[in-house]
Amino acid sequence: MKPTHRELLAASVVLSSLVAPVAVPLGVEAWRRDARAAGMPTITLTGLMDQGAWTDEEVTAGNAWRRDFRRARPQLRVGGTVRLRLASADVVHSFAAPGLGIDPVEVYPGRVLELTVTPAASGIFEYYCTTVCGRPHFAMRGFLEVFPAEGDTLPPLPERPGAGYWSIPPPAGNGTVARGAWLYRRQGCVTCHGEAGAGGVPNPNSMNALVPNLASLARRTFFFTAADLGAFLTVLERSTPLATVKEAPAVPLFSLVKAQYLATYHLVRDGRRSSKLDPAGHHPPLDMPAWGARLSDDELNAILAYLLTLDGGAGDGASPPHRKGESP
Amino acid sequence: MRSPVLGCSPQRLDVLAALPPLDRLVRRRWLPLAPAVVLLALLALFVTAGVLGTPVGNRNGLVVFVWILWWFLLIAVLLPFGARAWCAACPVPLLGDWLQRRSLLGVRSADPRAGKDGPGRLIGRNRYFGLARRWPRALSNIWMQNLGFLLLATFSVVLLTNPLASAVAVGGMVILATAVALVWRQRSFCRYLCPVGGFLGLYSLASALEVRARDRSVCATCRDKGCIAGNERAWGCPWLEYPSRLERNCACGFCLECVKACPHRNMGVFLRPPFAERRLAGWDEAWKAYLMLTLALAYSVVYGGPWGGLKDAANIAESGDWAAFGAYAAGLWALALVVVPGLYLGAAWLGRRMAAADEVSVRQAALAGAASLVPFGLLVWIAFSVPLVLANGSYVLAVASDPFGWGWDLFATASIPWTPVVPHWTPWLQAALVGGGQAAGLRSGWLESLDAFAQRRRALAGFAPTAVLLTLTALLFLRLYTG
Amino acid sequence: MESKSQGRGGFVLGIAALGAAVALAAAALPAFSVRPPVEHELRVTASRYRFDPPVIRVARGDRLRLRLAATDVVHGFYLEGYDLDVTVAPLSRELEVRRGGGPPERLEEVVLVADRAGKFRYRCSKTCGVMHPFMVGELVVAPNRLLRGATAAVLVVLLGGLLTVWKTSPRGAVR
Repeated sequence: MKPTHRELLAASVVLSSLVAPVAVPLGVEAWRRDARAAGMPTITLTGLMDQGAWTDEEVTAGNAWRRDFRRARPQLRVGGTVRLRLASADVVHSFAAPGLGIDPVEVYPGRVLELTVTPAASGIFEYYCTTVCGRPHFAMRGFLEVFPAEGDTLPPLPERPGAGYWSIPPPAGNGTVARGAWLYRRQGCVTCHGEAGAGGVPNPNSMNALVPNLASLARRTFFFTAADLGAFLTVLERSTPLATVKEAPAVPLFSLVKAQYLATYHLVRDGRRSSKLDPAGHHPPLDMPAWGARLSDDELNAILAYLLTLDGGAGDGASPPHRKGESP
Repeated sequence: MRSPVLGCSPQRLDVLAALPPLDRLVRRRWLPLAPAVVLLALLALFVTAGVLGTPVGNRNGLVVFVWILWWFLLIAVLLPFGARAWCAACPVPLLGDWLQRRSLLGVRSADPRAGKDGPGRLIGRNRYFGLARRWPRALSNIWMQNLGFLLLATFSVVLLTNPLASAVAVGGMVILATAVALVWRQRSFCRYLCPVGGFLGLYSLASALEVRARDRSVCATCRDKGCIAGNERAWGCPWLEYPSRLERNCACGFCLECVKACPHRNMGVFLRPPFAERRLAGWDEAWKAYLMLTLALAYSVVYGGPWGGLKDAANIAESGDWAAFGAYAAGLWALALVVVPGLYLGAAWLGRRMAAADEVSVRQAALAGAASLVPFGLLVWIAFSVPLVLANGSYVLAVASDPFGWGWDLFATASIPWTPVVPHWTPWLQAALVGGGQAAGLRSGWLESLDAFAQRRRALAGFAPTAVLLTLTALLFLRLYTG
Repeated sequence: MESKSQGRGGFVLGIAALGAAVALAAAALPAFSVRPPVEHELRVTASRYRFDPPVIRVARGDRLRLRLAATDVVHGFYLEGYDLDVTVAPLSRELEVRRGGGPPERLEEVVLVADRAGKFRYRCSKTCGVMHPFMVGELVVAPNRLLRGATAAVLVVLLGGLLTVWKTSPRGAVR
């Protein structure tokens, strides 16, 4: 070959070594995506821990710094098989959508998991992340819309409580109840148990169908007046742990109160896996977490103190008297 | 009285003479271009992965292949056994070379007496495109590389863990190298700016390979001088060295143009015992030695150590805590520029006092002492790099099948779980490397001190404080790695 | 000159041999105080990107009962040299423990006997963020023969080297 031909060959080799490694993978991936989409509709969901969301936008090394990815709202049709691709941009997540028959599947960062799903019924179904994946984890839920075979109308999406809960600033002052209220929100309890413990968030296939209402906690802990509750809270603050306190004259039915309080305390501290209503059905997506793994005894007591003050703390509807030094 | 610097160590093997097929191969114009082009393709692939691939560092081709595989091969294999051989096949300056030479395989040569017979600057007998300016004399040292490496090291956590940051750094280097090639002559970027080149140059002193003239008397009567001036067979040394007089590995990039150029076949590649070259040429190289030692220590503590607070402080991209990062950076810079150099300079000064050797300058004593940090530093860097591959090498296998994290599985290895390989051997390997480094460092430092101080006893006194300091440094590393 | 350098070579070998011997001896020395095994109950907390406690020091034969917890995201606990891999999820009391090649067990704590002496790092084995590959802690099981032996070897090389040079340096000798 003449030198110029060799030179041309070399030049084309160098240029293609610059272009091909960019063009070929992109081309191959584009072809793969087209092939996937042609076979059946494909939805790719990527888990994001910082936003607490599954997004259907593409997350790459170049745009992962964004904090405004769109929360996915996949739209499916009854009877239409859809390919679901699950990925994570950061840590281990788990995807669950019991309404579509998807039990929790672990999604590892950098890997892609593929599922196929054929919705049998129309409606609005919730999807979840069921592995604690950071502070915003409890917000990592959204809705799938399954349209009926004919027609395009569905009821509006429900609201869920506690949006942006993890960025609430701490309370001023050092009152136990105020701190408890803050923790209740900041730790994400509000996303399942609702504003002011109202409950009502659905937990499919669980015994209770809905996440329990906590506003009646005081009544269930044998507090009948605000004064009783105030006296108990004073005991709680003065001598912890409560288990060592033998008697407290100021609190009526103290032994009952103590037993019930400790039972609630242990439930919050150790958590509980939700029981299935239908044993053959899917596992309820929402379990009670073991908060003792993250929160101290004082923090747990503060949350319970706050919960006890909900609903007036007693049948008389009045809130307990503010104690000295505590801000409302 | 200093002995004359020998250009080559007495025990050496002439590789090209021993392997004639290799000798024929290295004269081909497509070597080392061919491996460079392959590496260019890989660079393009991995930079693309760094921008468009998964943001998860340990599943992204750029992070895994560059900071685990390439790094380990470079520091543990290529550098000790091949000196600056990486530089011969490095893809970063490839485009710049092409623009300068306006040819990939050919050589543009002209008789300088024939006058201007085409575009381009004439350097020796070769014509180059671009301004081909001389690198400024004041910067004709490795200070820029020292600074550049320290800057990169300060942000190393961001670089190592963030694919986008790595892509910007690597891509930025290619752009910078190409731009520099259009303004300054030949491989000025590689010799004076490239941060990787800085430590490759220093530690290549300790390596087992060298390019040297076979017989200098042949050079004395040579009229061609193609090795530096270039001729129709090859370009003049792109590394701005005079190959006939080449005595040090530091600035030789193993491009083998001189081997191709020499009409007398007088340039050879030689295998030699490790740690054969010891002499440091100036303060810039001494500071590089201090800097690399400091960074080996810092990285062993931040990356290899169990102290999360330091990792958080260094991880500015995720923590956003500029106060902590500022403290970390200040500490790192103080250590690298003041504390470690201060200690080793102090030891050299003390030794000089103990030896009562006024005719030996502090500079000579310091350079002799710093010479001990070349073998020690290299082996300690290898020791630091061992757990990277033993613990995390399996990522390379997995990511090879899915370099972008898009769900590919090219070689059916994408699902390989993270599998450490005999990780509990790590402390043993590290201890052996630190111990070996200390022994080799003591030897190098002692032999340099022998050259610097006239008498054995004075050399002993002169080197003793540095020897003790080096041993204490080794004990510190041992404690970190095995205690 | 010839014999001198040969002599020096001999000295170097001598030092190397001495260093190796001392290193082996130091490594082989049993622990100064041999005490009965102790049971340690430890709470090890994993968060991004550290383990707390970062260093665990025990003696060979001690029993460790580790209560592992994660504060933020799913972490792993892989102990080098013991082939133990635990997956730790936040807000849960259950751990998924894998030993050897066996099936995973769901336990609330991990019990292991530190039957191997030396330094064993525990690493996070579930990607937990950008610094995951560097999330590491250290289990040091005494007697630490390697540290002792290596320290001894290094000191012997220094002292032996200085001594050798001293002995081979008569007054006024040049090089």
